[in-house]
Amino acid sequence: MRKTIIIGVTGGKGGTGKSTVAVNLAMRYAKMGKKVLLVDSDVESPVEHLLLSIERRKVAEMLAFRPKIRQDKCVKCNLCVDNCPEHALMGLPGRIPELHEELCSGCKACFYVCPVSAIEEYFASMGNIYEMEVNGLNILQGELKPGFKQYVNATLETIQRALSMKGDFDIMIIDTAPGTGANIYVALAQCDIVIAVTEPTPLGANDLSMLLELTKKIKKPAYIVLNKATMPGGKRKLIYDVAEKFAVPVIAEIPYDKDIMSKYFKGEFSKTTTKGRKDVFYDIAWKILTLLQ
Amino acid sequence: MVLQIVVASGKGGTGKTTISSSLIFLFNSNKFNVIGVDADVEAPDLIIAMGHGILRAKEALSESRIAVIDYEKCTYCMQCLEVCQFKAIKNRDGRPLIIRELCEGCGTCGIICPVRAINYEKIKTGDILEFETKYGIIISGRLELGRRNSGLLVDLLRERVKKYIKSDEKSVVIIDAAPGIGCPVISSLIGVDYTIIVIEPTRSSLNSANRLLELTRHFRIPVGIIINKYNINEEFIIEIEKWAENNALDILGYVPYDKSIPEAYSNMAPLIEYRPRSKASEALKEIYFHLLSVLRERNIIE
Repeated sequence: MRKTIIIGVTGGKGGTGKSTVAVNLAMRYAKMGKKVLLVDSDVESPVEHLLLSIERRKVAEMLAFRPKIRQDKCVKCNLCVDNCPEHALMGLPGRIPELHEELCSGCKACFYVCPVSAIEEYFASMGNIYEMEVNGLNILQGELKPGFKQYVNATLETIQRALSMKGDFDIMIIDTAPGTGANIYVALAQCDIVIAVTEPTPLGANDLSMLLELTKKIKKPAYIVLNKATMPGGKRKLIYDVAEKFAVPVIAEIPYDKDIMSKYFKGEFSKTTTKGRKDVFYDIAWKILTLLQ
Repeated sequence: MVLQIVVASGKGGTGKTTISSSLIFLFNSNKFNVIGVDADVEAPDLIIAMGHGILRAKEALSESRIAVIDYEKCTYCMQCLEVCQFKAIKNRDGRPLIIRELCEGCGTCGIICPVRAINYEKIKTGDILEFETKYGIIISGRLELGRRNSGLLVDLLRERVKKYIKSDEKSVVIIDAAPGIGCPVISSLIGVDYTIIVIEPTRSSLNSANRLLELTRHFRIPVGIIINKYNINEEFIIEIEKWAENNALDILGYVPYDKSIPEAYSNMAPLIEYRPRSKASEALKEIYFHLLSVLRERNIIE
């Protein structure tokens, strides 16, 4: 068993460069000879396989309860309808209730409340968990299927699977979804350190504030990486103001680099790492290890 | 008449808020009664993109439920733990313990408990904020940090819109959705007339857009796309266009990346007002008129 360091990469706002930073950090650690597991926990919009243009293989199916009403058993009492918190079951007097699948959260209240066991215990596939490897780097990814609202459950299941593999790795990097809700909580709750990736805009600053309030609430040490620092029209000061307010340091600035951007846009994510001191991701990777000591 | 349009994307950071704020500005300039809904309750930014406004009302909403165990009655049978589909109950030294962040308040544990030891307590879902801006009302939400129930908060925001609908006016509701395809996005899509998917020219964005499209199919909502930052990777546009054609989507237009967008935000003004002649502003105006004609063709508006 190894002692595994867990690093969360998050940010609040979407599109700030969370996945770019997470993938680059994971590659730098792998290059340093560490055993690394990168966890793509953004189950609503998983992109790691696309950024790296690699094949993924399905290793598990995530299941969710979906009621199936047996016509021959249902006594049309509508108790299931009355107890459905999502109003996914619709009922009319004297008729068998109808399910609006997209509204179902899979809570199973209907199954337990039905007095005549007319609801079958059926589980639908709400998504998959994938694994992939590239240049000695291992990646685990969860993906929710469209039409299922259980993004928190799917995130939790992905994280739990990653945790079960923990002992095999020196470093685990969890790339989160945007936002500040329960799916971010379940990811960050496991981390030793949180890296908040943001951009120098009022929107970036606003969402970063909410995120840092969350990390404060759950008592996780957080550090800011300011991405696209030199973007045209950007205002770095906004981010430094938030950093000061929360007493959370900015540990690195990543310049707005046409090369990084166009590589990202073209999907030609560099599979090899650049050598030398100017490699900003290498610097960040080292800094994080220093901070953890 | 009330027209409801949702602006969504699948992947985050493609420009939903910029597009939403511009549409609000343009509908308002064309004499519509506009209500903007910021349905990204985990990272609400629409009011910033509108150049801020006057806060008319702020209300804490406590519509979420959470399970509370009465340990005086509890017999520690652990059936609640077994039935919880959200892994929100854990076993701590033989006692069931509710994990507040994960509890949906669905009621299932209460149904199964043989001694009725589980009660439900109302807790804060989040805040609802109503702003008055020069360009219309903005209704914004702020989910309690680290919580579930973002979909419920979106439902409540959309409910609040009714207050501002005037029967003698043409009203438009622009919903700026959260990224993704989960619960809050589903709550944004229910009952709308039209969905705009904002895509940037990357494979990740297109892939996520396609997943979102699949979700809109469940609700049978017509979809149009806007290709944002199109000039950053022009080679990829053809692929997006092919995808749109194969799925019979309206291509509403193309917006270039423009440094005036972050500048406008920093100067607290909507883009089109701040730089009306910029390439992005010109593109957005064209998109507005194209959108109106598409909506007419589809008989969504007269």
